[in-house]
Order: sequence, then C-alpha cells, then structure tokens
Amino acid sequence: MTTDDALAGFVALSRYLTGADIASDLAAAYLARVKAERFGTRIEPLIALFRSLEQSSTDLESDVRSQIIQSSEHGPLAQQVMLLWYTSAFEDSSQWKFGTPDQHFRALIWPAIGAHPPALSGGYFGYWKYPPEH
Amino acid sequence: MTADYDLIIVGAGMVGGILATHLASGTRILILESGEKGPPRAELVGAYVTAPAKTMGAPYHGRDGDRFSPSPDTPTDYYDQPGADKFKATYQRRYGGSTWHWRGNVPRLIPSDFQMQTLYKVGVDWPLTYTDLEPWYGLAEKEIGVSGDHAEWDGYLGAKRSTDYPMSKIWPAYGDTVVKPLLDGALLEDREVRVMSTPQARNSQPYDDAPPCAGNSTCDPICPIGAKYDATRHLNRAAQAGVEIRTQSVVTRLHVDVDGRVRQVTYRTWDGVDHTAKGRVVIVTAHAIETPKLLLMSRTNEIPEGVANRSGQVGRNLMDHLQGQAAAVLPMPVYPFRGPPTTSGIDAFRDGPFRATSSAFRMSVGNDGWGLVQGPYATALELIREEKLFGKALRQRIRDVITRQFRLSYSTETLPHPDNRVTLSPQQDALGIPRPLISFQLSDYNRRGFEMGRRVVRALFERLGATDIAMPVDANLYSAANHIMGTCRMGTSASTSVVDPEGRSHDHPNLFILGGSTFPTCGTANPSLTIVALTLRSLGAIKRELAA
Amino acid sequence: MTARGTGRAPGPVASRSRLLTLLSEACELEHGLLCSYLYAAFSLKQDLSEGGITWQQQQKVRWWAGQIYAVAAEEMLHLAQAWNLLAAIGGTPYYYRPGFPQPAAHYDLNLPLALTPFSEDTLMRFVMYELPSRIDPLDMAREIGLAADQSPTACDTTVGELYASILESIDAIPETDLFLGSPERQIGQNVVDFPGIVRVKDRESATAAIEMIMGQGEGTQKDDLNCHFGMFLRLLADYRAERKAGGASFTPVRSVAHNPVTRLAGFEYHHGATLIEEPFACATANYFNAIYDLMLRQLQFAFSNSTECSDIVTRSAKHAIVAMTTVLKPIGEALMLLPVKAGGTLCAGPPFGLFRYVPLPPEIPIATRIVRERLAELVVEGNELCRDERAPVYLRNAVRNLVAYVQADTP
Repeated sequence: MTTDDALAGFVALSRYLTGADIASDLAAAYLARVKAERFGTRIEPLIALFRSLEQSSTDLESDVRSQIIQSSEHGPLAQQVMLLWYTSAFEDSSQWKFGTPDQHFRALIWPAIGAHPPALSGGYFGYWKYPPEH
Repeated sequence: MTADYDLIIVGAGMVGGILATHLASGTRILILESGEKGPPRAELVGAYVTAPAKTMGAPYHGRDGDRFSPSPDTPTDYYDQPGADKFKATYQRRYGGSTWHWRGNVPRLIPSDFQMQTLYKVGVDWPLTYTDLEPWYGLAEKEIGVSGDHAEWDGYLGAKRSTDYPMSKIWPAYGDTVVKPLLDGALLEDREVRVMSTPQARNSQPYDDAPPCAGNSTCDPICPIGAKYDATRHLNRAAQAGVEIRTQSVVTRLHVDVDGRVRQVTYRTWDGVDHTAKGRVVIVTAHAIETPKLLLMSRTNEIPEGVANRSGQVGRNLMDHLQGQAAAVLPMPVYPFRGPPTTSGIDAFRDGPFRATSSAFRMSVGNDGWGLVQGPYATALELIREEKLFGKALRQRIRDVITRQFRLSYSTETLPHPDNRVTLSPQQDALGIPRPLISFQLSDYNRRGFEMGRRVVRALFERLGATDIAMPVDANLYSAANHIMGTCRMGTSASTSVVDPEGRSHDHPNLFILGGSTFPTCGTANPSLTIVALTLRSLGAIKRELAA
Repeated sequence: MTARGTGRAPGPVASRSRLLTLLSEACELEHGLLCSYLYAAFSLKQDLSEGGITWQQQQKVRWWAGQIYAVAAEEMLHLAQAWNLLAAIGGTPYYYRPGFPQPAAHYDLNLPLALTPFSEDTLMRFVMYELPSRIDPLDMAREIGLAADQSPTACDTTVGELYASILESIDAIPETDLFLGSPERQIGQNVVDFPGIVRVKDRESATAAIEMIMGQGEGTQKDDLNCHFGMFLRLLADYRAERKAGGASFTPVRSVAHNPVTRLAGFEYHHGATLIEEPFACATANYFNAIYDLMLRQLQFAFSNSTECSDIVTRSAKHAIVAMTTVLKPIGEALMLLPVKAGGTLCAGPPFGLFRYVPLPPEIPIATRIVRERLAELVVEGNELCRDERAPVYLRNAVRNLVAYVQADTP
C-alpha cells in the first residue's frame, strides 16, 4: 500500500467509522500516531479491508459491523481509531494517551454534544444559559 | 544573605497577595514563596489538555516544583499517610497558590456555623460571630471581585447582607434552568429545596483589569483567560508597588528570640542553599498543611513543641469538606460542559437541628455531565467498546447520552478532632525537608451526613425522572473538596488555640498566622471568601504591630 | 458635564421632543454599533481546520471574539435601557436604524458606521466609538495610529456626550411633567435577560440608567480601563503584538466582505457596500434579514406592552433572545462561509439589513397571530434553503433550532 493510498484509505475509514466530517490535515498526524502504537501495527490490513468492502459490499453497514467491529482481529483497532478522533486520545489498560494540544482542540466529541473543547471559549459571557446552536 | 524588612510573608498565595497590596505603601515587604512563578498561562493550558489524568495538579506538574516544592495531587504522592482513611485534599505551591486551580465558588459561612457548640453541642464556637464578620465579607467580595445575586441571598439561612455584590451573577447554566422548576419547593428532611445561583469569584463584566468569563469551562484546574480570580492579580500589583517576592524559596525555620518575638526566618532555595531574612513582623500564610509543618519544623530544645504551639493545637483539628457525587441520566437534555462546571447549588441542608448528630452539607448542581463519576471521554469509550457503535449511530448516541448526563453532589462539614492532624514525617522531599505526616479518620458524624446526602440526592433524582442512577456504592466513599482548614485554630484562650481572632499568635506577639488553618470549625462554605474577610479584618492589628 | 455640539436635535434643552429625538438617536447608535461589533466578532476564525492559526493563537482569537461579543451584549442592554427611558417619558421603543455603511457625517459622532471584518482599522474605529469625552480625539488618534483626517475632533459629539445631552434635558424639564409613562411599561430583569437594566420612573432612576450606560462604555474615572473603551484599546494592542509575533502565517480573520447587502437600493454602492451576487448566498442573507427583522419586532413588542400581561411580554422577549442566540448567530456564521460571487473566495457575512419599519401592533392577539404566521413562513423558507446542497451545517442547525422552538411554542 502506498503512503498516499494508506492516508486516503485512513481518511475514508475514519469518516465512515466516526460518522463525522474528518479534517484530512489531521488524518496524517493521526495515522502516524496509530502506527506508533502496539495495537496499530495492523492498520493497513484494516484499511485494505474497509476499502474492499466499500467497493464490493451491498450492505456496507452490516459488513462493517460483522467483519470489522465485531471481529476480534480488527475490532479493537477500529475502536481505538474512533476513540482517537472523538477524544484525541488512545486508551490502553485504563491509561489514556493524548497527543498535541491542537489535537485536543479538534476532538469531535465536543461539537457532537453541542459544546466546545475544554479550555477554549464557547463564545460570549452567558452563552451557557441558552441551548446550543449546534 | 540577610536583609532587613518590616514585614516577611511566608506564602505568595491569596492572603499573601492581599496583605502585600494593602500594606505596601511605606512598608518594606518580602514575600517568600516555595514554588516557582511558572510559565505563561497558555503553556499550562497545553500541559493540562494533553495530561493523561485530568487532576487538579495536571497543568502544574511535570516540572521542577514536583521535587523542590512538591504539592500533593493524590493522597499519597506527597503526604505520608499510613492510615486506612485517607485525607485527600490537595493544594498548589506556586506564585498565586491554590487560586490557580480553585473552582472559584465563594458562599459565605452562615451565622450558625460560628456557634456549633452553643447551638448543637458539637465542635467549638468561633471567637467572633457572623455579624462581626459581615462588613468584612462585603469588602472581601469587592477585593477579589464576586459575581452574585444579592436579593436572592440576603437573609437566607439567617445571613443578612449589608452590601450588594460588585458584579451581577454568573448566568445559571441551561441545565439549571431545566431542573430548577422541577426541584424548587420540594420538602425533604424538613428542609425546603431551592436551587440558587452560586456566588463566584468569576467576572461577569470587566473588573480589576481582568476580563469577563467567556465559558472556557475548565475553571478547575485552570482559567485560560484569568476571568476567575487568582492571586497573581494581587501579587503582580504588589510587585509593581515595590514588594519583593522571592520564589523557589522554601522557608524551613522561624527563629524565636529570647523575648518571644520571631524576627528571623531561614529559607532554602531550590539549589539547596540556605539563607536568612530578618523582619519586624512575620506572617505565615502557606496554606493549612505547610503552615503547621513550618511551625513544627521550627522546634528547638527550648521550644520542643514548635513555634506558636504552647496550646499543642498546631497541626491538629485538620478538616476538609468531604464530598459525595451521584450521577444520573435525565429524560431531557441539559447540555453540560458549557460554562463553569457548576453555576447553582442547593443550600437548604447547610443548617438544621440534625447538626447535633449529623453533618450539614452544601449541594452543587452539576454542569459537568457525570462529574467525578465518569468523564465524557470514558463515556465515549464505553459507547464504542460496550455498545459497539460506529458511524452516525455512534455520533447520535454520544450526543443523546452525554447531553442528558447530570450529577448532584453533597459537601459535608467535618468536625474538628485533635487526632486528625499534620505532623512531620521522617520521609523527606528532594530538598531534605520533611513531608507532611497525616493522621485522619472518618467520623460517624460525616457518615451520617453522607447517608442524608444520598437520601436527598435520590429524592431529587426521582423528581427529575432520572434513570441510570449511580450512587456511591461504598458508604464510606468520599472525595475531597480541597478546603484544608483547622490546623492553627483561632480562639480567645492561649491554652486551647493558636491565634487570636486577628490571627496573632498567642505565644509570639509579632507573628501572625492567616488562612484556612485558623478556622475552629468549617461549616459548609468554601473557605476562601471567609479567609479574605478575616484577612482584611486583621489588617488593623497588623498595621498596629508594624507601627509599634 | 456640558455637551459639545448639541447636534441637530430640534428644540430648546427643556423640550420633551428634543429629548425624544436624542433618545431615538441613541437607539440608532447603540443598535448600529452593536451590529458592527457582532460582524467583527463573527469574522474571526473558530476552528483550527480553517487554517492560519495555531492552537495558542486560537485561544487568543476565541478570547478576542468573546470580548467583542460581551461588549455587543452590553450595547443590547443599552438599547433596551434607552427603550425604558423612552417609555418613561411618553415615547415608544424604537428599533430602526439606517443601512450600512453610513458616512461619518450621518451622526455628530463623525465616524463612519460600517460592517467590516476584524482588523486593525476596524479596532481603531471601535476605540474611537467608545472614546471617553475626557480624552481629546486627535490625541487618541495619534496614539493608536489613526490618520487625523479619519478622526473626529473635539468639536464632534461622542456617544458619552450624546447621553450627557440627554441627561441635561432630563434635568431641565420638571420631573412631574416629564415622567408620565406608565410604570407597567418598564421592563426589568425578570422579563428579559439584561442584568442591571433600570426601571425608569423619575430623575433618580433615569440618571442611574444613563450613568450605567456611560460607565460601561467609557469608564467611571480617569484611567479606568474596565469598560468598552479600555477593552478595545487592549484588544488593539494585543492584536498588533500577536501579528508581529505571528508573522504572515497568522491569519485569524475570515475572508469576508465589507458591508454586504442583498440589494443596492441607493447611494451605498458609492460608499463601499458589497452586493451579494451569488444566488444561494443572497437568499441566505435575505433569510438572515428576515429573522433579524422579526426578532426586533418581537423585542419592541415586549417593550411596548404592559408588564401586567407579563406572560406574553416575557415570552416575546424570550423568543427574541433564543432566536438571536440559536438561529440568527448560526445563520450569520453560515454566511461567513458563502461566497459573494459564484466561485469566488470572498465571503458574504450577515448584512443586518432593515428595509422597512414594520412594528407589531400593540394588541396582543393580533400581534401573536402575525408572529405565528411569519414564523410558519420562515420555517418553510428555511427548509427550502436547506434542501440546497450548498447549505452549510451552520444553516441547517439554525433552521433545526427554529423549527424546534416554533414547535415547542405551538399549543
């Protein structure tokens, strides 16, 4: 798998697994972080599998569930990928491992719940009294 | 190196900063601070957001202060405490002190809190009343900048207010506006529930050259913009007025002259070198663990009990507010993690006849999801791992669950007990200074308070239609409020107290001890506002001592 | 405090009509300023994915935006307070203001009113808007680097001086003659979320109200920077320092137009307005104007009615505020992403366009029905816009929020 293919595949996989709009500039940094972890060595086979399912599956959701999420081979890694995008961290044996501050500020969990990344202002004094805009 | 000062202050925290600002004019002041001044605020924010564990110390640790001026971040990383019940409160030794990481909530003590022995036959009475302190509370609120609702609080639990808050209240969070109509008026344990805005040392408008709160939502452990009061405001002003502040200087000994006065201190800098400084008046305000530790370390053959300790009370009566939290899921979204982690509370259970046998408690209404019970990242992990969700279903479920997460907490009063104490451990830090040895035991008074707190929380959750309720499983489980108090209690009698109501040591007329360590009992209010009020009230006595 | 230049307000100092005119001018100014402030705040980038800012810079940028929003919120309070003042002396709350841009000569303030993105020029103009009368404008212009020919002079009238004229008239007219408005028309904090809003019933409360406005704007004493003026001055210095440190790669401002308009109705073309030509962007901008218009009418309605009908009044005010924060704001942000010309990089921005003055009638059942009809129309229009694939997620959120609160309100 070429570097470009791996990155493009990782972006597609991430987009699908998170259900969110992925920033492709962040994807390169995250792919590198995944590869550096002991559970991340099998990322390219996971990407390859996803790509082939994308191509040939008639029920992608069902196939992703059975062949990736529920698979003991690919499931844990797929979960780490989702966790990484949502929280900017991996979790291994109750130890959390964060990356850089800008990754924290781009964690997807915060826009998903209508909030903002901690330590970054949500806006103006008193905004918290009103329901979220997003 | 020796030098002559009018006033030496041990501890560059809130009290040290306020004292120095008020006394700077015409007074040569030296503040000795064990910790560092620290890097720019943004760097501390960066350390926090990438820390594996989001503790109170997370922004501040991983630096040389961990070795040369260690601050506790867990019950055993700095404290030596072999006992089964742990004292879990933490603090921060640095320029600005624990106000870097405090939440900034500033209720006042209530009148009953000052008379626990008279009213409820437990604890002791303070040597002053709420009425004595009330004008100083008003000044304290202006001193540090408090946002609050005067009409809401005036007279509640008997605490009248003679002045308005300098700033209007911090807006209650959206979740508060949802739960308040459902909880107000509930009659539980013979008390009427009322959700009330929490007075906070957090700007609601530009004040004291600091900005209004913009809802960064990480008040504890760090406000990225300085809208939450921290002592660097006073310290920076004091420095501009000519006060000398020496950081990385750990005071290790107070020297008592034959006439009983303390005129010299020894301090050790981080390079291990000892220095002395001389002053006519000395004030120790290094938070309630390091202060008694210093007094005990200063023992000699002539004063084997330590400085200011003829009463034997130095280090004793250690208190913190012991807390419990319960979490639940509400039927409707409350959208947490937007704005301060709590903006309202329930103060109904801070007083009542039950205090004769069982702890009073202050409740806070959470705006931080499941609070200490489970953080949002852990919730996301659970949804990913246990529910095996992915894609849009995962995103929707994350939103659906977390926006309905809610928690209530109760923060109980601890009664003073002589065996709950700080002494000197044989273990030392990297500078060869003894670590604190803590002895602490949970009392049945607190246990009964926890039980009542849980009953109340359960009843409130029921009124809200909450599900998935997680109550503390172990009846003895508690967390710390980080309100360390009691270890140099004030009183009128030199045989049973360390300082008088102005903070002057009974044993050494030119030595003052200020801060939470002087509290004889602790009520259920976060102590900082009371500390500021007492400090402002002590200025008269300190000025007279300086003029003498 | 004497006013320099009593302006074009007709009548002698002790004239109610003069006072009503001055108060209406104050309303226009507060309203115009707050739109300018909002526009500048909206123009600042939010996410790191927009590029041009590091995470440390993003902290500052979001803080700057938050500070400007806080000032805008206080201007809203000032507008509401001016409405209370009007109601107290026999006037009606006035929500209209002229379109952007306005040349400097339009007001005695002698500064242009415009919707411009965050920049040093914009911030310098903001500093001058809030200038305390104790400071000579040309001195301040020199200090901040504003060209002398762009600056007002001591002969012009600051916002503070306008309020001083208002106070002068209040003091000149006999108190019992002046305050003939019904006390039930005074709106307090229990009705609308404006902390510190004063119910005006006499000279003392009127003076307190005006002192509050002036204090928040220009501070209460010399060297007091805890006010709008001080905030903008510090912001300008902070921004300049950050630009110097960050160099060319620091680009915290979105590429948005000056004075975007959905149609060119008159002279504004020659004064620097930008026509939004791209059809979808223009339709969205018109939608913004429509929501903005309705929100103002609802607020004015709340302030025109007696608090004896407090339920209706409170609901009206609450709707307006919820519309502002959860509908209008995200549409404004959506517009910051939509192009002025098809395929271009310059984006539109919220136009805050008001074309006609269409107040709601005071009769409650009629007003309620008109609002309901209009909201139904706006829901349809919003859904229509969202069917277009060009609709940014901010716009979808806005329409979703609008639908939610219309449904919540429908019995």
